[in-house]
Amino acid sequence: MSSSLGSEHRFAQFKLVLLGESAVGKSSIVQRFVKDSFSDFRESTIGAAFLTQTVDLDANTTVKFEIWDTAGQERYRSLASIYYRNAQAALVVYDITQESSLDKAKYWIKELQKQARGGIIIALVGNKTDLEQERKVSSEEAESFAKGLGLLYFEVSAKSGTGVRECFKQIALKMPIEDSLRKRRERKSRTVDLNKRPSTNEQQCAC
Amino acid sequence: MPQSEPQRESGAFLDGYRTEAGILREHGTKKSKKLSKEAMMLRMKKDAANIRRYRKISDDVLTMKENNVYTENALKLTTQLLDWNPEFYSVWNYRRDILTNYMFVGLDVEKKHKLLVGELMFVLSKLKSFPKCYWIWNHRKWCLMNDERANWSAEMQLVAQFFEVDPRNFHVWQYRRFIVQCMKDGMVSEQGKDLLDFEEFAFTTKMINKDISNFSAWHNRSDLVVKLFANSPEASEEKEDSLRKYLEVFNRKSKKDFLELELNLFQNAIYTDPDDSSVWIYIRWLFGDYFLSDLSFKESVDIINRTYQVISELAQLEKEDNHGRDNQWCLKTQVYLLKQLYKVYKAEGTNDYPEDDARQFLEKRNRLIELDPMRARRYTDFSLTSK
Amino acid sequence: MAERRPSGINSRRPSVIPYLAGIEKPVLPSIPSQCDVLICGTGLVESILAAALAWQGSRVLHVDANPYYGDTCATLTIEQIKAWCASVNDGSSGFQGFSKAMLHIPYPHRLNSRDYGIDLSPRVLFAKSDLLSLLINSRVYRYLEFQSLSNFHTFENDTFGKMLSTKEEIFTDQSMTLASKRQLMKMMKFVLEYDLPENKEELETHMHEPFTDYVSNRFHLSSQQINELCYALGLAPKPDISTIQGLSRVRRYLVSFNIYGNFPTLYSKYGGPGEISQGFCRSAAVAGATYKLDCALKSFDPDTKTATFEDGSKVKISEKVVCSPSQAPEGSRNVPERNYEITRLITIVEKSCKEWFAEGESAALVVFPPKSLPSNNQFPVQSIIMGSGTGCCPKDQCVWYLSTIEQGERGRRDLESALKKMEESILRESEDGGFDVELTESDVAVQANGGISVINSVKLGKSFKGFVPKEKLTYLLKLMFTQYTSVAPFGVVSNAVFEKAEENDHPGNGPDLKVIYSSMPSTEISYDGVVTEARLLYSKIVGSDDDFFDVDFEDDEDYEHGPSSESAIVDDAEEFQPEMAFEL
Repeated sequence: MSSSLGSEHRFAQFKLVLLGESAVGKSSIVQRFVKDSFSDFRESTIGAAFLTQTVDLDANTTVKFEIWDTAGQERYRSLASIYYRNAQAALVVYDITQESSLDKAKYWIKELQKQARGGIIIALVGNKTDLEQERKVSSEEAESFAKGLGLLYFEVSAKSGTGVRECFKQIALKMPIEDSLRKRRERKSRTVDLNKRPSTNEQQCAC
Repeated sequence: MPQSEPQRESGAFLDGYRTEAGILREHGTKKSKKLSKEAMMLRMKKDAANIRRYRKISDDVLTMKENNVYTENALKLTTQLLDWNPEFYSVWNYRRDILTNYMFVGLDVEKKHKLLVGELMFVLSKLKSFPKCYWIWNHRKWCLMNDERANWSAEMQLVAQFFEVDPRNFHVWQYRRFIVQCMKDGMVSEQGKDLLDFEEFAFTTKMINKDISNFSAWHNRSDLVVKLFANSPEASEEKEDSLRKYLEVFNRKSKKDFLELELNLFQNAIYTDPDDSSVWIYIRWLFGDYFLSDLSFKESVDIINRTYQVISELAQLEKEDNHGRDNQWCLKTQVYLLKQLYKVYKAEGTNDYPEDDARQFLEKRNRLIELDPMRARRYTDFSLTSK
Repeated sequence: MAERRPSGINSRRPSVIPYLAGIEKPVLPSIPSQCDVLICGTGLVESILAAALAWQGSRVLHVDANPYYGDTCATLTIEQIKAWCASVNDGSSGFQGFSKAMLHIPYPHRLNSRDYGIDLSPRVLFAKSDLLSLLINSRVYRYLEFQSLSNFHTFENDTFGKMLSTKEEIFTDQSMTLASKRQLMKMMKFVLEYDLPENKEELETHMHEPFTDYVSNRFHLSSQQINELCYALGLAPKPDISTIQGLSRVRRYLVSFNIYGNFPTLYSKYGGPGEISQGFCRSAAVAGATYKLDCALKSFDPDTKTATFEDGSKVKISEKVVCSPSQAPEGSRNVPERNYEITRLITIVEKSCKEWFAEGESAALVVFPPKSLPSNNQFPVQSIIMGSGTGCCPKDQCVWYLSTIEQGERGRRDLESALKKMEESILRESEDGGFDVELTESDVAVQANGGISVINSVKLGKSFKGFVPKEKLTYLLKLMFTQYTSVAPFGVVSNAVFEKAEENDHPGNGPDLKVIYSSMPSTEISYDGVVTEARLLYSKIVGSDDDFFDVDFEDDEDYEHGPSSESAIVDDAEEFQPEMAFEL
């Protein structure tokens, strides 16, 4: 690879969306992944449009996830189309102690197949393995379901952190990094970053 | 044009949208941005912690600098410190000392190049937020001068990107000149060097077309013109008509013909924006001794008179449109041209300087004194015969 | 991003069910029993309002009778457009505010519904505008993607021309005389400075005279230049605008230049107001607002402060109910008058139309000034062109949005007439071999300092009078409809529109007593006025708009750089070389 400045580091960013019923722990998983913390009674993250976190795949490759939470809009099945737009990965979360939550996860998978773009990497994630004694959904059942649809499958505990990083790392490995780098190089469309005004001293105008 | 466009509440400048929105005014002035008490406390705590950390690192680094400590850890600390404050010039100095006295030691060309490429990336990240800071640009130049494998074309690309953001940034222009000089230094062929100068000249045309108020572009142009009159590439090689015309003039070393070409350019510019200083300053340079000393008496008188005429017409229009107010740039240039004309007559050894021109000179000069009493003294001392 | 926990307990289900079966009709939790403000309709104004209220701390319930976001300014797929037309024409509640929808899809099999995003009320965003500032302050811009739009074409004498509007264009142009260059520049400067104290007197004298008279007397501009100023740069929706209106409109264009680059306007990719309203709804949700689509208001009882929805559910409201006229309950009596009409014509054509776009761009504007069309139009026709790069249609296709404030049959005729001109133009310009007219010497100019230039973009500038196209333009969709609004062209939403809710004696006990109505999208082709209306509604509810989006985001990234000393910005002026200074 020959970037003009001689860097050989590969860096790519992907949008990842969270789906699943309320209270299965979607936000907690992200919280664990992004801030490595957990709180039983979490306040909302003020103003966060979305959270970001990077995964280093190897010494020369970094993947950054832009993680979109549902912000509660999943509750009445009222997620907007911008939510799915250009998502390259999705975490569909259920609660291993709530049988119905896997059924509902299935709804979101179907919704993703309908709304998201083709090629999206979907991971089915069972949360709350710290409550093993209350487990209602067997790993076998969920895994065979995921396999049947060609999804990734993980079990994690947002509370203890078990499996969370690994889950994101596996997803990162599936991301089309070369594709994204190529697109960025070829990118000619005049997308404007509203937050980046030219930093001139004076306001220039047309004349 | 005044640089400060008056600050308006954005969106309110549309007249229609202001009139009925009585509510906007009813509640008086807008309260200053307020934070909840807890948020305020939190922020202050965060601030205080940040400031403490910054002070600590800053003290540590300066102590190490004093003790000539050159270690990898010291380099890391300068990185941290410069991340906070990229304008801390003594830290940049120290950083160079560490690189020279420690990091470079025992490195072959290739390894050194790799190290410096990393350094350039760091510098770039700082320049992005501080594109007008001397020390950072200096550091970049230093890196390149210490790198035998420096990639000049990549640097030119970088310059182009900075111009996208601010085509008037003086630092970037200066840096561009530096890169061009380095490229020339690395060239064996003299033709190659001349060609590079001419490409730069063409580049100034492009930038001036984009923004005639780009002083740095005009200035760079004047620099290059001098170089190109000394040495220029073959005109026959150039395919593009207008550029070839310029090359032919440079090849023939004909300053008169150059002035003719530029006359069109600056005439367009002063009519487009009669208040822009850059063009007027460039005109002054065009009618300075560098050009006139190479022209024959007849040629000089002719082109000065024609230029004077062009400016007089504009001055008349300006006066009509501005309720009888004179455009000072026109006046100044007229006075200057009349004086240059006098010099031309003097050099020729004739005393035929037209009386009417002498009268015009006094009249315009006195008008300047009236309009700009602050400089009255300077103008009074400025006469046809003064030095 | 709190999990809002469902009020009901998760119901048990049999453990083995077929994959993905029976989930189309999930049992949804019931809506909250209480809220501060209920907003019906997720149009742009209502969505900004919802976000502002939610961030201010109000408990907002935001619903929409439609199964999608955006309401009257939604971005729709082809299937949604079909359903929308049907509902408009049969007068379903939830579609008030529109009429006479006519849809023609000649080759249904060639349209893959979900490849399209068709805006019901498309708009362009000026780079210096209140909505743009709000997008940044609210951080909603992060949910969206913006692209630039530079080309504003004016149609006149069977020709598409592009106004010289920047110093660069004026300086390098070879066709204009020096004197008219100077006048045009003077005009541009005055536009930027007219409100300075020294211009006060002049402005006051001429403020109310027609803009066209003023500009032609004061700056001696040609009638074509004046039309370009007025209808292209100014995007004036009607003729006979006053000097002050004209100046402020042209200024809007000029001050927007070079904010983000060499272009005055932007648009949001994948759809205009429909996308942006989704962004604000998401922001509102992040701040705690509750969202429910497919949920229509049936009635509001101001005595018990209870709103009832079509599905029978109820919510107690402690503050106010805001409703878009399009979603007024059946039998409503207080919906504000909507006296102004916009006639819209939307087409999808099988052509990339890249000839109209600036390099690297995917969109353009074309305006037809009054009396420029064979239909002898009294009002201008404005047209937004969205190519496939905007994400609104597939490759090698293009969406054309035409609109005018002319009413009824005349309006429809003007739009058809403009459409025909656009068709002729694009066929001519995209035909193989370029144009059939040979360039003459006078079309081409050699610049003093930089190559050959073709005057006034000949490709677009050539008149196509008498041009006979070799091919036909294929229309994949044609949609015409009339939209109504309470906002007068050039006006602002009036406070009076909302007053009805405050009056004590109501004409009767309708289902919308004390409901505050918004005013439907305005006739404006830009986003101007949208934030103003949201602010007005906000004031109506909160009592003042002092804390409208006065949000301090805790995760402010700018803040993480730590302290840095005052920037030592060196003025370029200090760097003047002595030999280049101008001192006498």
